[in-house]
Amino acid sequence: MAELRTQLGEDDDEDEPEYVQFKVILLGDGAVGKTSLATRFCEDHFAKQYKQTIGLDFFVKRVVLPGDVHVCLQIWDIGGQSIGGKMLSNYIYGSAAVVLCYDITNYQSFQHLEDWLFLVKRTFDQTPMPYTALMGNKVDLAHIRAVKVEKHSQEEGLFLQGLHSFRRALRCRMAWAASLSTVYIVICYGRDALGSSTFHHVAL
Amino acid sequence: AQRFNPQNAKLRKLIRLDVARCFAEVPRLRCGAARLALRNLLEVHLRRCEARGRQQAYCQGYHELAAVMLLACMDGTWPERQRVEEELSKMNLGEDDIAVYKELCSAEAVPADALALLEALLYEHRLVDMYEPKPEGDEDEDVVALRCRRIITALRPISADVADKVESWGLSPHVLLLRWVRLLFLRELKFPNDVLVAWDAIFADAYMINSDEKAPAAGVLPSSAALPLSDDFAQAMILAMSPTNPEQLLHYSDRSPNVNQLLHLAHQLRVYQRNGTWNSGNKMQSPTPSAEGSFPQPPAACYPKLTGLQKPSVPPKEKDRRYTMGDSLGGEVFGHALGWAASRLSGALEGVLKVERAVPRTKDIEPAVAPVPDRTGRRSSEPVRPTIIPPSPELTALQRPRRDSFPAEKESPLPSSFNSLEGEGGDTEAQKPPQAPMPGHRKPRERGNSEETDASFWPLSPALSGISATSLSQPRFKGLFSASPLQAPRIPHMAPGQVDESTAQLRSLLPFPKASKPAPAPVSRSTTSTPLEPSESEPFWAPLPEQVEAEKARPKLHEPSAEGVMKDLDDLQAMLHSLGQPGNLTKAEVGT
Repeated sequence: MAELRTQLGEDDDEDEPEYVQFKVILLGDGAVGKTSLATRFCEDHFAKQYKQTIGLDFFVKRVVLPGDVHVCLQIWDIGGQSIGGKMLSNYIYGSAAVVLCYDITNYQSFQHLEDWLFLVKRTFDQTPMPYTALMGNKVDLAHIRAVKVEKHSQEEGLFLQGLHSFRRALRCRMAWAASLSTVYIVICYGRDALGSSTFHHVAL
Repeated sequence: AQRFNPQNAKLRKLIRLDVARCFAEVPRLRCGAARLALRNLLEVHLRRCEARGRQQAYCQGYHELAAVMLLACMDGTWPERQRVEEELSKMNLGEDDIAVYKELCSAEAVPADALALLEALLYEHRLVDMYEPKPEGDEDEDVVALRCRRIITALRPISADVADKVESWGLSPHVLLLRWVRLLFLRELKFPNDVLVAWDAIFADAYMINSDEKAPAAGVLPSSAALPLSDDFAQAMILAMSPTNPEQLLHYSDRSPNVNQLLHLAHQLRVYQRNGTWNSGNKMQSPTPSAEGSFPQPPAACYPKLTGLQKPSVPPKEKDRRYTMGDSLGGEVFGHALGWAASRLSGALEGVLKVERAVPRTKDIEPAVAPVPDRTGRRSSEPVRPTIIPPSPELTALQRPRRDSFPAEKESPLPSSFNSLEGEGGDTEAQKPPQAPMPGHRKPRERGNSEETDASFWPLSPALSGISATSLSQPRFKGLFSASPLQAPRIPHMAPGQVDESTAQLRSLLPFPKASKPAPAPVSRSTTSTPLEPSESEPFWAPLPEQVEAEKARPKLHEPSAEGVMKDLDDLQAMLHSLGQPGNLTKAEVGT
């Protein structure tokens, strides 16, 4: 974990707190809403105009956890379509958490998650797997839902879960924040890499 | 019949998905016609790739490159049909060739032109390398990863601070730069103006350097060598940002610097990397002395500390003025590129575009002394955009390409106005008054509001304006000007005003409602009461009351009614007859 402990911001700034950096990657088919998820989380807006992610995009969210722990989440938003296999492994490598995204109106995107998960497993061949969350997007289109909620919850135990729409800002912001908090709380505690003495247990 | 190919079916679906959401913020690319053209373009590309056995027929990203090309082609200037025919008839060509040239010069072939440009960009300029993954099991890096790495590595001798900073993030270079090199800075710069300025410079530079036919230095990636300025430009972008965290590079467009400054810096970087020293003005190795002084060199203090370069703050809101590809370079390099790409597509293009040369070439020879009056007649209210394009040394040194592979110029002599410039520099040109816009030909694009139709520009009746704006030989009303398939009625040479049976027959062919009552009283051409197509006949400026009065007092000739059109036609006939050119309208019948 020591290599993850990097310092962001100005070097000469003494007041800058030390951030613990985590890499969270978003995976999933094209157009399932990975970028929307990331922008909603990091910049708190929903872009109505769609721009495909070419290669990858990169967002940073700095959070202060209770106990004055400064966490810097690097959200790697990985383009669904345009990357060759080798570079993809390069992106996945070293991530602390993986969020697998699908579109509830597109059953294929749910089916393809298996391929994405396989890629992650292959990358983390010998090493322990990162924490993995399952995220169903576009819940505001529930009337044309193609992936049943039961399907989603079948995967229980394997994944952290979330079902979200980033278009409906207010309600879902809470849900997303809670879910991501879960991700990083789990990262922090589950990994137990930073020494549990510095943390207090937090109930969300 | 098309072979069924599951791979291509998948790609076709991908294309549909991508095109439907491509450039949603650009209204002209959002409309259905443009979307359809873009989709057709990419599907044709797919088929062509299949026919040639090319891999990577479509990748996400092509669609945006294609969209830019389409936009650039839609904004192109097209010679009038009549003029094309005149030029072609002078050229002693075969029938088959003429058809090809006509197509190349017609605005309807815009998607085909865009496709030619896209393929030139992908395959001639090797952008396709940036999309090609190495086969599974190959240990080498992807070409795109290698190129990104080299761009970052080359930063170190220029600015160790920036290089240290970038390396301290521990990110592989292609994480930062993949989109830059794949889309050729499309997302990083402001669209469309800044992007097109940068592309102009990059393509022009490639054109100048690669027409030199020197083998690229050993070890340079083919994709870097194909667009030599692009790597320097990427470095310039990084240096200008002097980023403190990786997001600044990944979200470059949030505060992208002035594109002209970036190009300037890129050029400086190239000179620096070539000579190992910063160009302080006297070290410049220019092939001819004429380059000295024609472009202002930056103060030495600017580099290498970059103090002169302002850190970009909030970008100022630009006025809505469209930039045509090639504007900053005199509007003509794009023509070159187009002609060059088209010639690759369908054989040699000869001279059809060459006539455009004389006017725009003058512009980039003039040094940046003062804001040059725009040839298209810029409106005075618009800000004059300074064009300080840092040219590549070759561009400054030579006033025309050294070895021009563009077939149009090999045989044909350059226009005289071009030659006369070579000795005297820009002085004579600067004294010339700005050229008035040529109606119907180079349409001033600044008044690009779509509401202002051409008809409003022509103070004639709409029907006649349509005829006079285009060539007479063009079939305007089906069956009237062309001999087939409708039998043109026999018209003896009509005297003006004469209305006979055949005229009534003709009237039935007109696209207007037939006048049921015999010759209704002509309606005044005021703003309120034009019965047909009121928006078109109405000028886009509001007429003053006295103008309306004067209008009423004038003989009412041009009415947008069937009667008015017939009268116009009669007048036209009479005029042609008096000129001793009978039968232009009824050639088929008179001949028999």
